[in-house]
Formats: sequence, structure tokens, C-alpha cells
Amino acid sequence: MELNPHDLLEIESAKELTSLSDIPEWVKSSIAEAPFVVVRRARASEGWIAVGIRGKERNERFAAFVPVDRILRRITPEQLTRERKWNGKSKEIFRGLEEIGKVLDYHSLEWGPTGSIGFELASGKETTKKTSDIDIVIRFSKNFTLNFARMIEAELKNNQFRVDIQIETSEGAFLLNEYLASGEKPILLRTVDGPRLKNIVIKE
Amino acid sequence: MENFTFTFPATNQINRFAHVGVVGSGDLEVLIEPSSELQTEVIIRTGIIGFGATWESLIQRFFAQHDIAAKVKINDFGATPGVVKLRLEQALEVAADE
Repeated sequence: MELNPHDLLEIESAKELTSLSDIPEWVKSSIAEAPFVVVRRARASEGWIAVGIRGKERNERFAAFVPVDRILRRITPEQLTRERKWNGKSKEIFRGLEEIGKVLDYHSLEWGPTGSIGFELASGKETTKKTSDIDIVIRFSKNFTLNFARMIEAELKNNQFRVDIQIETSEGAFLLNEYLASGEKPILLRTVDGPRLKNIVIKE
Repeated sequence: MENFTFTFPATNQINRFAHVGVVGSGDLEVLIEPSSELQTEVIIRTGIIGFGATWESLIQRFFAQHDIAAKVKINDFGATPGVVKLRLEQALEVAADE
């Protein structure tokens, strides 16, 4: 099974989780409420996948591993987009997401919601708050020149929510904002082997 | 929101102001400015509560390896220690630019 960072995985229960540290109580209750974990950007042994669990609070994040053959269902960010999972939902943040979707679809980008909004759409459990950012992943394409990135940013600027866009390449992911501000200096690339600084230059 | 301040004695001057990083989940901003005093002052603001000990050991280790007299401000949005260290290194590189 192909698995990528940001994918949400449904599991049977917290019993599927393995970790080097003790599994906190909040992890168990969080999984009991919504049995989804998110694929982490980290290596795992053959047959295992590195995952993260989110709790109610922002300091409640826990790293663990799950055997790949115990995954019940995989939901990718793109799948949430394809199914327009937010259609008909009245929460303001989903209207914000629809606005973003119009822009990204217009430019034929492959994209999907991640973070709290992605989690809420996949699991049905209320995760976003009024103050939540809208986290988005966009798959890298060679069109992503600085000018193209500037255009995307300008078109998303008026959204009432803070839009946090990660561009996912085959080597790792970088933030759209940082790419825009980089002036061709190295920026942070999150890779499966940890963060590193790298020059991202895409010729017109 | 939690705040931490750490100060260490320092000797090496830096050349200029630096601002690296971004405001966004899992990341942080680092601002460094030259200081005329012989010390490093690090002020951390973070929305993620409960990691004071992690910050202290990370910052101590980093500035034990990098002796710079500077004022350092960190605005954290839940970055991992690996990202924090890389951002600090990135800021020092910019601050050392002639």
C-alpha cells in the first residue's frame, strides 16, 4: 500500500499502536472517539508505518507506529477534495475551504485539506475551531515557479482564515510562504530523514 | 501562551539582523539582532504549553556550541526540536553574512 505523510488511517483501536514511550490516556480516549491516525514523515521498519495522534490540545501530539496490515482504511487529502467532503456543511471554515478550492482547481493543482480541517472531514469528529488555520497540501508540479506561487498567494490572500500551504515534492515538503520569501536562498525542506535546508529554484 | 527567557555569557559579535522561519503550524520564527552586551539573551514565546525543559536543554546545547552576543527572539508554533535547531543555524548563517 502506498502511504504518504498527511494520509489519515483508520484503525480498530489504540491497541494497534506501538511506541517507545508509554501511551498516554488522552491518546486512548482520542482514538476511542475517532479511530484515525495521521501518517508521519518518518521512517519505520518493514511492515510498519510511522503515525501521529492528535488530542484536543495543541500540545497533545503523540508519535507511534502501526502495522501496515492493521490499517482498515486510508483517506488521502486528495480524496477529501475529490469527494468535496465539505459540501453542505454550514461551518464557516468549510466556506473558507471552498473558496481556496476554487482557486486551486482553476489552476489544475492536485491538492487536499490536511491538519485539523482534514481530520474533521475524514473522521466526522469536530476538530477545527474558529481560530483554526486551513492547512492545505499541494503536490509539486514543475509549474511552481516563484511567479506562479505569487499568483496563488495573491488569489488566496482575501480568505478570512489563515491559509497554510505545504508543497509536497518527491524529496520532501516546503511551505509556500517561505518559498515566496526565500529570494532563492535555502529554505526548510521536511524530509523523511528530518528537516534540512535546500535551495528551491524552479526556472520559468 | 508560555514565555521563557535564557541568558548566557557570550563574546562573538554578529554582523547584522536576521529573520528566518515562518508563522505556521509546526514551524517557528527566529529573529536575531546584534547585542553590545557580552551575552546571549533568548526569549521564547510558544503557544504549546508544557515543554519548558525541552526548550531549556535545546537552547543551552545550541548556544554552548555557538558563542554569539545577540538578542534572539523565537516565536514558536509547535516546531519539533529538529526544526528549531535548523532554524537557529539558518538564522546564524544570515546574521554572519557580510
